[in-house]
Amino acid sequence: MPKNKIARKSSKIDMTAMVDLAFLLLTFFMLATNFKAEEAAKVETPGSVSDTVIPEKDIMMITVNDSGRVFLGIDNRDSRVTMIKKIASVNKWQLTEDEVKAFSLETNFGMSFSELKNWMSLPPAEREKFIQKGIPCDTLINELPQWIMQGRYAHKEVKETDLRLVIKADKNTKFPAFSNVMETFRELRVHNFALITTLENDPRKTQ
Amino acid sequence: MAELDTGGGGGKHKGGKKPRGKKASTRIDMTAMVDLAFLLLTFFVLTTTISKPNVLPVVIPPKVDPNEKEEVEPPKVAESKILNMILGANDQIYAYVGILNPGEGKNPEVQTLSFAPDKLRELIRERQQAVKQQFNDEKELIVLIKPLSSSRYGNVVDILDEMNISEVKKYTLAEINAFEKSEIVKVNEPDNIIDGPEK
Repeated sequence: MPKNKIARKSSKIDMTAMVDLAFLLLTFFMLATNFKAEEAAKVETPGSVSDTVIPEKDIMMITVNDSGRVFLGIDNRDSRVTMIKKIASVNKWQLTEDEVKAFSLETNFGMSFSELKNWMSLPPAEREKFIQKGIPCDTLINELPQWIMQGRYAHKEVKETDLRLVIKADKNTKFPAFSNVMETFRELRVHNFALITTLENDPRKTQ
Repeated sequence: MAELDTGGGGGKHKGGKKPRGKKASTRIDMTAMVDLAFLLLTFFVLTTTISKPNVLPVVIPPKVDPNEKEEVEPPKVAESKILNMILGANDQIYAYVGILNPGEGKNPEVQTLSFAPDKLRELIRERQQAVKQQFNDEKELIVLIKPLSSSRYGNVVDILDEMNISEVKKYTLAEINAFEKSEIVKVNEPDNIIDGPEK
């Protein structure tokens, strides 16, 4: 008796539809993408009903993580370069081009002046391992005003627009850590700023 | 599925018919292309930030220079317009109406609330109604938000948000005064009195 042969099906599939879809999505994501900035600190922002979207550019972001460490970042790279040069000239540092470049690649940093100076002179591999302890910002030592001032001057020079200040703090941050940053703003006569929040349902709209 | 299919065309002469041009198959092997497309797709999906974060705009009052004598006296405000909210540890709010001045021996009714929105909203609503009855405009209500150092940043944002939801037009972040410290904080948070936020 002849053996029963199992009917062989073709292993070919028509991939056209899948490819269409894949490319459609690819195109969408390529156009809509906006690369995530690398963050020095993980922060879980509190929720609010405010649906104002963060401005696209000209932002100086002060990040406060849950243990109260303060980080600072400007979105524009040229401004960062100018800012570090200004800070260097104020503090009478001699910086090499490499050091300036290393700093300008960081979108966010949180180090005191002395730590930063050390950090910039480290070889690149060790820079990544460096644990950032935050910019000192309390009533004893407050280096934040200098950064904010020089950052604003730098941005004004480079882009001829004003920097907008934004605070991104973790919802479990103790109030004094946030208050220190806010008081620094007040000292610098920055009375308008914004807090980054995650969108929540507005009870007015659901009712 | 991984080979270019060239078989289809029937290129062999059969009988005495005219030779036809070889018909190439229209099927191409797309595997490699799909691989690449999905690789790129994955990359862009993972690196992208589609939704931009939202922001809550804040305006704070300027600092009053103690050396500068203020020429204009600060405006006088009816006590009943003022609602104080002291934010404490463990997401507690201590709320009372009016102004506590030392030496007056007033004992305002202090309510302890949590951040449960309905209770909080009810209190604000109640005050708005009371102010409306007295002054004909519920927008006259003034809320002073006084976070203690034991409170969290999330609490502050929550309460600012609550102001927006309840449409309170006049509110500000303020510091706790000595009297509130001794009357309210001492009673409710004895541990907190040592490092109280009074500056």
